[in-house]
Amino acid sequence: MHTNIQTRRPDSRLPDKLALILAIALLVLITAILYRQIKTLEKSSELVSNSIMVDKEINRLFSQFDLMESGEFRAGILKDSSLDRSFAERKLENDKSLENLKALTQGMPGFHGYLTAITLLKDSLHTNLSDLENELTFSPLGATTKEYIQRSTLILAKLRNLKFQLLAHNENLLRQRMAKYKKHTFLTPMTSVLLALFSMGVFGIAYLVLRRQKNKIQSSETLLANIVQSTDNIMNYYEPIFDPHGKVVDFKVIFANVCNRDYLDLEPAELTGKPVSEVFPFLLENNELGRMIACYNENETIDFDRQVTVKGEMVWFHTFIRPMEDGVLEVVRNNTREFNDKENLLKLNEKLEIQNFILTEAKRMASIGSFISLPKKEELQFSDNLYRILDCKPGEFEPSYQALRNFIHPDDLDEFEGSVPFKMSKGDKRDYYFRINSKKGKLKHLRSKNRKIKISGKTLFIGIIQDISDRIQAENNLRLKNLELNRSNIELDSFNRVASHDLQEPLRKIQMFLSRIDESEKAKLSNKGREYMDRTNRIAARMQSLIKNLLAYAQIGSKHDDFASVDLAEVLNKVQEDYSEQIREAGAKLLYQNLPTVQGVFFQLEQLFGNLVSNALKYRNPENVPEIVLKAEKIPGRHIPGDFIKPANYYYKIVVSDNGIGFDDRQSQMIFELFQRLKPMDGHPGTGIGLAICKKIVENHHGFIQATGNLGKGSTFIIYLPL
Amino acid sequence: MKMLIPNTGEHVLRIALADDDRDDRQFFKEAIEELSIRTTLQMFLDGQKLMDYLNTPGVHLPDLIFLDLNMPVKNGMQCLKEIRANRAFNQISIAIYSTSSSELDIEDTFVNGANIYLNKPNNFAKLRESISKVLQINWQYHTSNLNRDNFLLRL
Repeated sequence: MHTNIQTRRPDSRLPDKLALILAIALLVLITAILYRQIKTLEKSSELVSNSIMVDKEINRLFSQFDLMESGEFRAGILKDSSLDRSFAERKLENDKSLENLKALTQGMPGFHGYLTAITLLKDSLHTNLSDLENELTFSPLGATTKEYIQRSTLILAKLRNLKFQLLAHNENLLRQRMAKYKKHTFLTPMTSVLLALFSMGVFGIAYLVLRRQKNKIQSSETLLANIVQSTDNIMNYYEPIFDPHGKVVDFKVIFANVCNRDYLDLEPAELTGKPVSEVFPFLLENNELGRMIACYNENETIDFDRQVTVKGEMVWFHTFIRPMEDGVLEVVRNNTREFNDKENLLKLNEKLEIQNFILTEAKRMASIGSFISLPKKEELQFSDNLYRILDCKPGEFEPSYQALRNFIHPDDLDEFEGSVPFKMSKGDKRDYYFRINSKKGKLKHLRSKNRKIKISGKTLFIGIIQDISDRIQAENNLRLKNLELNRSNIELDSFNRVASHDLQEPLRKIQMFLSRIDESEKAKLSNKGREYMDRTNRIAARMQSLIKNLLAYAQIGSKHDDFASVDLAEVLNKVQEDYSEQIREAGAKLLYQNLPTVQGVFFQLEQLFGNLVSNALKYRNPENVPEIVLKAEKIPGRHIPGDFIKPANYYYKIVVSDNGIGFDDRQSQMIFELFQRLKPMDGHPGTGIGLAICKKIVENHHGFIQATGNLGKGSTFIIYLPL
Repeated sequence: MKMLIPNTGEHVLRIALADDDRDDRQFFKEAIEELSIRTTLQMFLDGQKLMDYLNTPGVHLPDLIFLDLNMPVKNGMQCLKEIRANRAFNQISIAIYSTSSSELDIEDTFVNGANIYLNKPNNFAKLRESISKVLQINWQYHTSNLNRDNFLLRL
């Protein structure tokens, strides 16, 4: 999972940089200006000293001229031969001095003219003096000498004049230079001070700016740290650990916030400095470490969901890994609730889809259609199934009441009109029944139910329409069946009458006549005749009991309105009384205790237990003292063996067991069938109706009867009667 | 109601029997004849004939009527109702004499004013005994103590 998160860069602080560059440039400029100022000052002082040197050189040159002249004069006066050397020396010095002066004044204005004139005068002086010397050597002081001297004096005067002019010029220049120097000596310190002050100002501002910057950074760092610590996300910063080949193999925890404790139960301080593979071993499970390494290497941001078991609980984490500077930042959010919510929502949605599917199918199965109607408007929506009920294709026509009206059976139009929601008034009924003639011309019976619902403030009418044709059909069929049943019941009743009266009548008369013969004519019969008489009597008696039992069987009605609380102990008392003779005769024991009170008909229950007791006496084992034992207990319906519906929750289980001849257990079902006899007629008189009557009585009491037999040992009848 | 004193030479008990069955009429007659009680017996083939006789002006009304329930033309129940509806007949005791042992019939006849109910037995000796018992009943005493339990004659 990669999200499009742009890599953020730190803010470029352009104004700061510009200010810094400006400050540096300013300082460089200031330094340059200062340097130039000093240089100018230096040059100015050099010029002053140069002017002073020129002054000195001029004075030396002219003093040499004076010295030369005076030396010449002295030599002329003293006739000193040493003059030669002195003159030559002086001449050389003189030239040298002039050269110096020339060199010194090189490039200085106004000097050149003076110096050229001086050179010319010097040369003529030298010549003059040289000539004078020669004159002096060869002749004493003469006129020519005087002339030379005069000429020299003249030259010297000119030279002196030049000297003064030159000095004045030089002094003028010096004065200018001095003024300039003075100006510079005044300007330079001033500039220096100003520049120093300015620099201090720049530094001061820079310091203030930096300090503010630092404070800002500091406070934003504190804020950031607070955020990082107070967020409910895990925020960890890792730096890579390299193997000897420079490959990233793991990460080291550089920073871990407190959320590690909250979510993972790990102490942040203990995490710091340790490899992630050691402190978060689950990173190795899904190769998440590999993904982190890839994320670092490729400078890509990744995020993914994963489940982690913390303190035995499954927790979902959304992890977000972003390469940052020299490491990776991991932000982990606990989204267990969202995840669960999402999952629940998905499950809910799934459930809803299933429910919807069930509803649609149920509507189809139950032939239920529906429409939605806006109140006071003819706007309608028909469900697909409503169209199907009309034998139309879904959406075959525009839904409207008018369109629906066209299908309604003419006799039911009023009923239909009443069911139109927007015509409904408050007290109206909400259930309607009308017939339609479908598109295929089929008559259908519809039931309609209207409901008003409010959905997000809007009132809607929902109409549920069910095709109840099948039910109506079934009801009609049932009614016909009921009529038939009633008829056959009446027939059965008359059959009962026939059985009770018309069948019994002839038999009774036969018996009457037999008794007449028995009484008055028996003596006249032969032995054989008497035997036949006895047999006829027995057959007639058997026939009578058959009819009686059959009648009793038929008369166990399905009417339950005569049900009352019947104490089975009382029933058994009655049975014992009824059969006291037979019991005494057989020497049997009838044992019962703790019998419950049940809902039922006394005489039927009497017949039931009477039949069972009578059966037990009839099929007793001659080798034993007959013992009939009744026991009762309360059991849950589900404990009754056998696969049939047990409507009641609890039943009384009444067990009637005897130690008679028993029966083959395989016949335990057959035993309750009408006219079924398990024993041969001889020695065991019976009609085969007794147990069938028992079964019918028990069933009439909503109970069950079961029998188990053990040939030669006894039989057990189990009766379950609902509480 | 007139007190009947059985077995006295003075009184002849007038008995009527309404039964459509020839055999039953014969058994009844023979049984009565075998009893040592002085009686006169009139027999009718159906309910209508009985009622016609009873409604004949100046007729000597019977003391006791044995009434079969299942009869053609007019059945025993109708006769019972008619007799009990007529004040002129309120001295007559009525014994239902029927094959039916249906609770419904017993209940109905009791409610409609019959005095005793006996089932037609299947043995002549029993019949004789039953009739004898009925004839010996002190009706005044019996009627004042009549209830559903002693309504049906048991031997």
